[in-house]
Amino acid sequence: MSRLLSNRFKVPSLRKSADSEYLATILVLLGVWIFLIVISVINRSDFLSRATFGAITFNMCIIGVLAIGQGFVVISGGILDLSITVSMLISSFMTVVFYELGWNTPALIIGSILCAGAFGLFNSILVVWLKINPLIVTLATGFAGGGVLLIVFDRKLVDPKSWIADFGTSYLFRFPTAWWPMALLTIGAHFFFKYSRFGRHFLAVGGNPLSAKAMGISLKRMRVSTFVGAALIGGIAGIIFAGFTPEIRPNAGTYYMLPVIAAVVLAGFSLAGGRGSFLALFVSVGFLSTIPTALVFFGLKSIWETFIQGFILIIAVSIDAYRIVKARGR
Amino acid sequence: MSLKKSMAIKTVAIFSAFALIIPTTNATAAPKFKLCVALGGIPGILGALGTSGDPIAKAGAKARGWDYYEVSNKLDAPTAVKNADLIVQQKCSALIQFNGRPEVNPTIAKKLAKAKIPVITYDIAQPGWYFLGIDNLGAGKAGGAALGKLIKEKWNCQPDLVLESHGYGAGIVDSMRTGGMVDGLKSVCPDIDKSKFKAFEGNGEIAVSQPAARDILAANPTAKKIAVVGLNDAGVVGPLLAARQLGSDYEAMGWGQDGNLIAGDKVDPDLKGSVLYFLEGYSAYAFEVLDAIAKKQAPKMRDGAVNPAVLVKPCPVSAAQAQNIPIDKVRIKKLAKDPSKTLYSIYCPK
Repeated sequence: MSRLLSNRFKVPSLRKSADSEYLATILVLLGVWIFLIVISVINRSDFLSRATFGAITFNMCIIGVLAIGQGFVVISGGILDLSITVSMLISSFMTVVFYELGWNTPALIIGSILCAGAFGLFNSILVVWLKINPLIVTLATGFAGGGVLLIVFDRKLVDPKSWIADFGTSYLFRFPTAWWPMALLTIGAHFFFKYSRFGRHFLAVGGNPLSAKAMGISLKRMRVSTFVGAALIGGIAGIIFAGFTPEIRPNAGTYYMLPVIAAVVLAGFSLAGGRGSFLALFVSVGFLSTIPTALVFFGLKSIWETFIQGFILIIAVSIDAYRIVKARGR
Repeated sequence: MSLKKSMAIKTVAIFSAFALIIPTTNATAAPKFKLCVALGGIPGILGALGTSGDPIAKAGAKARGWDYYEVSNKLDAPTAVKNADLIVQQKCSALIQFNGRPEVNPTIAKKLAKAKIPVITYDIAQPGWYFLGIDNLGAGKAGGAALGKLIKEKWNCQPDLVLESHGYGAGIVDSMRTGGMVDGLKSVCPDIDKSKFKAFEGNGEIAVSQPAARDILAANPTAKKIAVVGLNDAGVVGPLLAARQLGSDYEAMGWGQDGNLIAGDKVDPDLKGSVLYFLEGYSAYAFEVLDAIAKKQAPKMRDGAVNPAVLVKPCPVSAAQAQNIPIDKVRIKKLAKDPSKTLYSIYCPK
């Protein structure tokens, strides 16, 4: 108890050091991002164009939202949600189904996101009540979910004359309309985890579940909220995906997993839980989304993107592992 | 009627009955030809590649008085191997095979070769099996030429960029289809500069081809008239969407392959056409080889995609023409009624 109290006493100073660490991460990532842009401009001055801006911001839309969902899981100590792209696809399929049923837009959006949330609830039941490792659960439900989608839907086509298709190509305040959900979610997540009591509970559970439990926080409730929350965010990505992809297939989400995990780890989210900044995540997504475009300007094929993202992931995970070992040794 | 006359009639009748019975008895002595089909198990596709049976093979076998036996490989390697044992047990005279898990094909081939069962394989080549598949090069060239005509008509053969959405993982199929489209396009517009052709990995999927195309368009900011060719419809629709995402000043048009996204009322407005393969009707072509095998005149083995036993004729259709072609369920029903025809002969616009 005395240890707990002393930990509680130390919270303000810990928060301060964490904030400065997040700021440092943001500045480093921003520096690397700007460096990439500068060398791309030196290589070819036409890199700074409206088309490049469009390509990068469109690249950010889906990866950004999924990364926020994944960041939510990581920061809360859920390790990783390997089925987050299935949440996205459930929502995409349901978006088309509800559209074909003639649902109005708000009902369609809420309905699709809730369907994805139901999948998250299923994940959380397996994690919380059956006490199975979240990584194993989400790996299994990711495969099983894809299989079920294949059996139930096979594929769905989006009407090119629908608002869903318009949403995937239109602009709002000079940014792609589909970019705004990611931007707003980033701001929302930042304030939620930094200033709300409920948000800080997630950080507490992720950082030290035993202490959090001793402080009266329900671990079960938080774990359920984590996986449902991540799936709901995946559901938002699903609506964007439906706008981007006129033919939705159950295997279409596989390409997002690597950049999403790379973005989260690169942003300094600890895979051990309890730490991470959603503002840093935004910069990380921006940087990773610029790489494939820059590669093409350098005359390299965008196929190199996967290699580079994988390489970045290895470096970022190594740094995180080093940080964890160092913290334990302290 | 006199007794003599009546005896004579009876004798003739008995001999006639014998005359009828003897050939029948001889026919049952020789084993009846048994056609077996190992279905692919791909959801959403009808016929031999799909999940719900092959009505064309069944109808063709029935019309010839053959026995028929069908199993599904369920897109699963162990199931496909197990099915090979069943085929041997069933003493099949010939097998139509589509196995989407070709890594076990050598094992299956050994079992079937031991039992001396000839195999006709669809789209996936295996040494010693008759290869039946779409004429990919012909499909590519036909699609490319059709797009070339549009480019000539609208842009006087001067596009700013020709995006080649490859699926390199598909190997020779990609080279023949996407490469064939480039050749077909050049056959109509031979003077398009080499530098205007930009090849990239689209993997035959919108989720891959769209972001890759966005990056190429960004790296070519002055290009506004964009032509797109690719491995399949999805690989072409991705770049068309990418052009619309980057701005209204782009004018893009593409011609796909496989006809997957050209039918119905949800066709991309810039997808001007596609090449139909009528996968569900493949088995109508297989009887060319099967009939010869049944007559004990098995044709010379041609087992490669570049050296096929039977080539399925591709059918290029514009988006408007595609609207007049009924959906695969209707098509396969019609063909099953008369399996002597092919879907190409019934539905391909002249």
